[in-house]
Order: sequence, then structure tokens, then C-alpha cells
Amino acid sequence: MEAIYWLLSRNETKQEYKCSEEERLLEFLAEMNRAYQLDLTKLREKEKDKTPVTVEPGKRNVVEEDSRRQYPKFMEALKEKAEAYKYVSTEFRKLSCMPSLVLSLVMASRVRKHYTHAPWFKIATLNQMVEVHGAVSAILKSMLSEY
Amino acid sequence: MLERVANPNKPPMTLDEIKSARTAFAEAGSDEEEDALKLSLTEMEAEFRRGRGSLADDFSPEILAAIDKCFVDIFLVEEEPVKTLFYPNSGDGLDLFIKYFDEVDLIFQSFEGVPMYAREYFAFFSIWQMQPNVYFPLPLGTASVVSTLHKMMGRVRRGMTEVRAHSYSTRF
Repeated sequence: MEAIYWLLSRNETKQEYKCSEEERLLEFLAEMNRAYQLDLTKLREKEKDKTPVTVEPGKRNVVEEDSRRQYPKFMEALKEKAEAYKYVSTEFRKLSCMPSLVLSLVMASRVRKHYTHAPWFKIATLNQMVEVHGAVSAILKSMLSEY
Repeated sequence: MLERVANPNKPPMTLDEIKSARTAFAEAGSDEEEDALKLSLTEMEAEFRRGRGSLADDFSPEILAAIDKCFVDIFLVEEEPVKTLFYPNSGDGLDLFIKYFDEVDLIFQSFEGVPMYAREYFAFFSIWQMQPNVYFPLPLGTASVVSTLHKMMGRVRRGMTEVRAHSYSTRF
């Protein structure tokens, strides 16, 4: 249903009213969100009968926070996107290679009014973010991921 | 982090106990004292990291906007971040964070539809010494925090350049 909505909302006939980059960003995130939702349902089912794991104070539970393990469907969907964008000149290529950033954006995009209306929620700004701190050291990355 | 604050599981410590631990951390005079405090919070830390709420379902845009306003009012002056934001060992910075933590706690008390244990988990989050690889308090990740962080990091772009571990360890 959602896919039909996105398809219909795109104007494919009039050049001057083409879908904007921001609309495409939301469309991209909505697609990732669908995969994320599937993982989330499974994750909640798993959490019901999970035994507690003790973690040393000040250390993180790596297994717990490994998005590849937690969100396999999301990772798969993003991998497909990254492959599709490999040979296409698009603003989304960089973004599709940053799973943790896309995952955060998917989570944030679910609170529309607060995050998607923020001035930085634009593909150009997000690409700048990737350029500035997209490949920082593990320590800083783990600090940033606290968000 | 907002999802952790919305953790639906009952915390093993009361709000007063967590706040006392926070004060004890602030008054700790040695690493040994801090280590002992960290040990006493092991169970709370495990519970904090174990459960998660949902950013979309547990926080209304109004609550997020109020928390965001707190950040803007306290840490931004004419849209520019104060110098002590994200800076370690700064007395002024810590004072501002105490104000921020108190005001966000007030929001959790005054708004309706706040996650049940938000005050407890937020109080624990405010003990920044318990966060791995964190050297100063952090605000909750609302919209203005993201843009401020991006602005600050953009200004020290060269400082974000990755250096190979080998050259880093042998150069000096």
C-alpha cells in the first residue's frame, strides 16, 4: 500500500514538478523503515524470553548492539540499495554505505515533526555529516553512537 | 539514548538512590572510589542497556520539543554553542549540565505520556562516568543537539581526520 502511495505521489510526466531530493530521502527512509519494522517485531519476540547478560561496568555489550545481528532484514535491504546505487550518480550513494547512520535516520524519521522538519534533515547536510565525521575512530564513533 | 530512557523495565534502584550515586560520583576523589561506585551500579547499568522503549511511540513531539528547547536555552547563545559544551573537566560546563538535567527531569514530571521509568533512567544517563568512552556529560539527542554537534565538528574537520594507529604511536 505504501509503495503504491509513493509511486502515485511521484510526478513522472511534468519535468518542472519532479520529486525533490528531500522527498526521495523520505521515500528511501520509508523503504528502510519497512525492513526495520520486520526486524523490530522479531527482536521484541526474542526479548520476551531472553536471559539477562552481565556486562562489565563501563563496557558495552557488543553482541547486543551489533546492528548486523539485531537488524538483519534492514542490513539486507540497505545492502541491496547500496548495490543499486553503485553505478548510478546519486546523492544517496554515500548514505547507503553508512548502515548505523541510516539506522539512526530511520528511527528519527519515525518522529516526523521533531526530526524530519529539522533544518539538517536534508540529503546535502547528511552527506556533509558523512564527509566530516563518517569515518572517525572507534572511540569517537562509540561516543557518537550513544545518541 | 532516548530509547534507553524509555526502557519499560522496572529499574533495580530508586530515583533517590540513583541521584545519590550521581552526587557520590561528583564528589569522588580518586579512581578507586569511582571504580567502587561503578561496581555498585552494575545491576542498574545492565538493566539500562538491556531494555529499550521506542522513540516514535514513547515520546511525543511535544516532549521532544520541550527537551530540545531546554538544550537551546541552556547551551546556545545567539545560535552558537557555549564554549564549555562537549568539553572535559570544565566546572562551568558541569554547572550547565546540572541545570539541563534538572530541567529535563522537570519536563518528565510535568508532561503527560512520559515513559514510566524515564526519570530513573534519565538520572542514570546523567551519570556520564558510566558511559563508555565518554569524558563529559551528554545531552539527549534531540534535533538541535544533532545540528549543534554537526556545526562543531564541521569546524574541526581536520581534527576528525583518521590517523593510522601505527603512525599515531610512533610519531611522538
